[in-house]
Amino acid sequence: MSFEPAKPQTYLLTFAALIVLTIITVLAARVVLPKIPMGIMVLDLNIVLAMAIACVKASLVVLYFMHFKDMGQVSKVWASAGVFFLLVMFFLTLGDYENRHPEETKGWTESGVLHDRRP
Amino acid sequence: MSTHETDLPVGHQFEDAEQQLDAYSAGMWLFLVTEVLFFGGLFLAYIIYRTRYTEAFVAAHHELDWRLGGLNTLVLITSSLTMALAVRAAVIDRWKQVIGWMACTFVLAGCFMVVKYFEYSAKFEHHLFPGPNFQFHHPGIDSGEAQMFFNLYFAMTGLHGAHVLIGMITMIILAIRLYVMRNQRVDFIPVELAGLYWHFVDLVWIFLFPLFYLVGGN
Repeated sequence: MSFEPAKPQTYLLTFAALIVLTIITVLAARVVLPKIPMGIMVLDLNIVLAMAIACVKASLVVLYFMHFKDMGQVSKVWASAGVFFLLVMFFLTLGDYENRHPEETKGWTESGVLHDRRP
Repeated sequence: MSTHETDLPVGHQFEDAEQQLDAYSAGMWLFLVTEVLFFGGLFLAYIIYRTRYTEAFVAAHHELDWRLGGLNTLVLITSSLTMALAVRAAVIDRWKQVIGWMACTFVLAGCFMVVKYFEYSAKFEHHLFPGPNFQFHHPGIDSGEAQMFFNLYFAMTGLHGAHVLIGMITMIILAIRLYVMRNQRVDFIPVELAGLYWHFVDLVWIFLFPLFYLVGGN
């Protein structure tokens, strides 16, 4: 954010890149990539690829539409803190789910009876 | 940081227009961080259930039409462009252009909600809304696990839809304000902050689209 207006071309190029990446996301979902079992979880490489593309798109939006580089220092600290604490929440929680003992990793059935979901 | 000569009105609590701009921007980003963590919790729930109920999520996502989701993605990205142009017009003080671009953004947001309306109606008709009437019959798939997919679908797209509606209301208020104050040099910060909010709404959808409509390789 600044008092200088950004060039319209910057916005149009960002827009074009976002559209192209959306088309790539749709095409990438048609390719079947392997699913890797990791403990009780299954790591699906399709979703890893989809999320990688989504992160690139999100970066474009933040950098050019939300003009990250023209922002004040305090705003940059807040924006970075948001990403940092989001990752802290994700990694701590997923690490916890991944490392529990099988008797604790139970799911609910429709009838409300607990059952073990570990294969 | 350059010190800019500007004729913008500055609040008495600020040293100059630049400090005022930074303060407002920092406040908006602080709000957006709370929003990121708000949606983040739901994304985390999605990751946990998806990694555990993989087959059910793949089967359930076929009930969603990726073409409608893709259309909505293109609509929201375009609305982000028109909003960015509205902010640009506000910075160079062209109030008619600001209202014009915000009207485009408003119409696109409306298109998004109309598509969402048709999608939701189809889910209600097909008994895919979670609750006692939920029906999902698919060989080898636990209906409770498929229901979790739709729980997350309605919670996350519903919350996102609420944000779209709030954005639309904000645009109406800003357009009225600009029209009423058309004869004075108007502070562009409210439009800028609405723009940040709108881009955030676009950003959330960028992640929602592949997670719900394009569940892996089938």
